[in-house]
Amino acid sequence: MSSTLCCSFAKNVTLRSSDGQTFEVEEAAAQVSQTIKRMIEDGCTGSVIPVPNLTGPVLALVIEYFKKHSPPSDGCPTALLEMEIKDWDAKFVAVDNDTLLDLTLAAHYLEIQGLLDLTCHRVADILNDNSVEKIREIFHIKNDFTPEEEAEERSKIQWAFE
Amino acid sequence: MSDRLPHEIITDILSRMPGKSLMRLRCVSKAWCSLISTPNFISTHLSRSLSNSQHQPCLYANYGHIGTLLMYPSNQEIEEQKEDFLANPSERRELYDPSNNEFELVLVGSSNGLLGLAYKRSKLCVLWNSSIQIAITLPKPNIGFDGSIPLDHSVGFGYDPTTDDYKFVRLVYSSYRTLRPLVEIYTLRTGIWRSVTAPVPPCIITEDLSPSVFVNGSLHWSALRAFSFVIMSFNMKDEAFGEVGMPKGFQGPGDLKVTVALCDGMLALVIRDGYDGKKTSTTVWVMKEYGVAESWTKLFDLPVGLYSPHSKVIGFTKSGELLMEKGTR
Repeated sequence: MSSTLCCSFAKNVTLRSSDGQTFEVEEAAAQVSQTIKRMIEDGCTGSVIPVPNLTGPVLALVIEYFKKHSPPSDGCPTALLEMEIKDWDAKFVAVDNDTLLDLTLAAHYLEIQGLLDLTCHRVADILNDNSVEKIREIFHIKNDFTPEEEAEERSKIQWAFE
Repeated sequence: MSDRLPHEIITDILSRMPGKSLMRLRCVSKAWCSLISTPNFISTHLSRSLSNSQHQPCLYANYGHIGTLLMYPSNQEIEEQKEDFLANPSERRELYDPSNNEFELVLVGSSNGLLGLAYKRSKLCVLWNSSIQIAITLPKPNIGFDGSIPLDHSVGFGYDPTTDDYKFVRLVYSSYRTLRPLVEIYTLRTGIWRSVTAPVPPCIITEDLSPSVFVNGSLHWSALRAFSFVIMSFNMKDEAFGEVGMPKGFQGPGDLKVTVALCDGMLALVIRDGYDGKKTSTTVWVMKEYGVAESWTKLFDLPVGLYSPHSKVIGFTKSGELLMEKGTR
């Protein structure tokens, strides 16, 4: 029996969220996250890998992303597969704003560049489509301008509101 | 900044926004406003928009004597207009700095949508990002700010890809231009002016705030060497001066005005002749192969001279059309 066949057996790792939920996932899939990849390389696979920045529901979503984006076992991804993944991605981030921000943070903490690009792009779209007031609400940003300051700032760039 | 997202993610997201939306987002909070105005952010946003294929090349020109710039989308057909300009500028921006009560702002150079500007009187330089419409006034240069002798200066602006940095180069002359100029450089990354000791060739840039052109990693100015016109260059990477040969058979100086220009990414020359009568002309040359004097090619020979009402060349459109100012100014 060749050694390559030997290695194709799927190895699993266990991830634990901040609220103590555990998830089992294929090691190759979890390595979509650079942070987890480093932990595996450092020999953390024997035990449970803690993911203290993510709650259970968010980690569950991220694991869905891992599974969809794990490198295919049979070499090159086809164009068809790429298109399918693109569609899947679009649906994946079509979530409520709070979940979207959670996913953005998760992508940041776990260093998942693809997911970070995806969520940042979606957030940028939301910023494009909403009023300044609505944006403050979505992002929980306190308006620290005085009314006079805000009026002045707006008058400077009136053209951007047209 | 936000209760939810760290600074670096906000930066990442905002750098993906088109300029106009970004300006609106300055009103979200003070923190967003100041983030969008930092040189670092501007640079990140710029490289992102440049890598975006939807980026629109534009042509900017000074308008009159006040700090107004006109913008032409250089990849669109330009309609003829009966007013001041042949072209119909798509946008017109009044640039001014409220803290500085003077309006003689001159466009000295541009690169990747960033524009270098300088005030005629105060000699201060301004960096203007055309996509997000933000102007930053640079700190006071070091040379000639003690007010002891009247000075003229020429400023160039360009990009150094080796350090991914934008630089202002400033040559300071005494009013009579009898001495070699002193040279200093401002880089966007360091945020300070520093002296350059590179030897300056015995060329004189005769006009205060003469326009510069950034081509092939170097800045170029029209200058005089003894009694001949030359093109003086300054390499942004090596920070060394040089010269670029003029078209063969070109005779100067006479009553000529020579300015450098940019045509489809190539160095161009606009030579305006002041004589009246048959010889009055404006010729436009382009250097097809950079640094090869034999490659100068005459593009236009127009029957308008230095003192004709339609004489100022604004620039070129992407398809190579020549834009000229119509009114007398």
